[in-house]
Amino acid sequence: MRFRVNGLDYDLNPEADRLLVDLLREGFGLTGTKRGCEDGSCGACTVLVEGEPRHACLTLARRVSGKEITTIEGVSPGRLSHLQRSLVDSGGLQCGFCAPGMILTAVALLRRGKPTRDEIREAISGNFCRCTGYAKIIEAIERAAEEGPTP
Amino acid sequence: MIAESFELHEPTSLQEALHLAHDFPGKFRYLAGGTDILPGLFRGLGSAPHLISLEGVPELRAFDPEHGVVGASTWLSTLERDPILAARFPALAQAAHNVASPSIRNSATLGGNLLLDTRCIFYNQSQFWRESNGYCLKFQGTECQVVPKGAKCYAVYSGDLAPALLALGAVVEIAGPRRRRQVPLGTLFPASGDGREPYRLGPEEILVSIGLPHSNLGSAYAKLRARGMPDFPEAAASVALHATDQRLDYFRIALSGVGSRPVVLDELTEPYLGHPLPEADISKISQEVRRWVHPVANTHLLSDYRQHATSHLVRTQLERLWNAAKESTSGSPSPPSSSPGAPSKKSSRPPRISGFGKR
Repeated sequence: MRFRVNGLDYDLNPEADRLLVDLLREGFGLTGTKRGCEDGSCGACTVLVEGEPRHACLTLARRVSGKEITTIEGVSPGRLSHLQRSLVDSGGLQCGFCAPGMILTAVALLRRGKPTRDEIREAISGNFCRCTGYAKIIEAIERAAEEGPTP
Repeated sequence: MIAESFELHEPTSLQEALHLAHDFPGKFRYLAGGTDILPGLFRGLGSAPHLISLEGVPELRAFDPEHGVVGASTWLSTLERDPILAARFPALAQAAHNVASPSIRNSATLGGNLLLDTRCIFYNQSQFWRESNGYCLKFQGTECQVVPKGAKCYAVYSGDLAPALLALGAVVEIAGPRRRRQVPLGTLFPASGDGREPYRLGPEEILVSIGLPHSNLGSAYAKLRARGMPDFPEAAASVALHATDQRLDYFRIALSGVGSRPVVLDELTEPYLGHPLPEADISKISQEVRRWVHPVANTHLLSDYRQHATSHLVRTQLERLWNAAKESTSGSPSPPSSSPGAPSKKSSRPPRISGFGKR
């Protein structure tokens, strides 16, 4: 089976019950994708499949073969994107556990155009942050949206 | 992390899926989006040595909102974003929008949400938790933890789409090993109201699609939940109505999240057909809704609150929908649009579907 992760192709044959989150973390060493609640509440495992946010902990790896998968490592390799920079500058980043999922969700949102504050709140509503209280994260995404559509 | 390993089958046609199911009697489960089945398997809630993924079955992907046909594999995110669907069947679009969180809705499907397992705070827990607590009537145990002397299971039906689809008068198409059948959606939900039987389908049967015969109803959906986003309904109500000359000729209320099956309150609403809906009647209906709602303490919020909220959810929707229906038809004696299956003026029963399944 062919897997396309962060722009590179790999031939792999994962077991039927292998979850995407485990394939990414253990198979690829891409540990930016976090394993959190394991029931779809927290969003820490969010990755992009064909550009749309999905829970890697609720996705069987085989079912995304042939699809474009983007993890946090593929967002802006080697430097901070302006969204990531904005999160740092706004104080929207504390312990960092939610950050990969939060950022990927925001990336998908910003690619669709400039969101309103309500659209930002709605988009990240499936990504729990237990540190910031969200206000700074929302500000950071708003600020990144000012800078352009490709975060 | 999955308690028991399984084999994944990926059929590419309905026939193939049915054959696979036939090959593994009692040992398989169909898998759609997987957002509820997979967490269940992690927690040891049942086992399925064979998972038959329906994702690659094109017959389940039909999507024709113009004619009210939606395939079971349609993602909830498609339902909430489609402008035609939102215009013709607002309750369905609103219900889809209110399921879980946006990323879940990119995986979760219409069929999966309709055929959701019932939930309970004593059931949706880890194997360790349930074992420590002595299990429960729904699974592995002999006594209900919520109603200790109870003979039935009180686990809650928590699907968001069912009340909207029931209010809209949906019909479902089901494929079995020998035949296909079309039935009103309500017949899938057993009268027993036992949480151990969330829906009634033959062991190999597959939900293919839903058909919505009435495209001109005013409809809405609203729910109560513990937090702003990812939660299942603690109470949910959907209302659909239509008026001609300021008199109701279609009126349905359906509820979810307050019992072991979704309920349609035709007994309550039918006497109002042929009449207008003054404020006094709206008050009376929303009060009477409580008679059908008897939640027990097996979710996160208090049962009294959930009962009270149900009444409020019905009331706010009734006010808004009646005001819109009243205005849109005032001075316009013409019957509902001529779309197939539009509600008949004379019949108090939702009319039979026409055209559905003959595409």
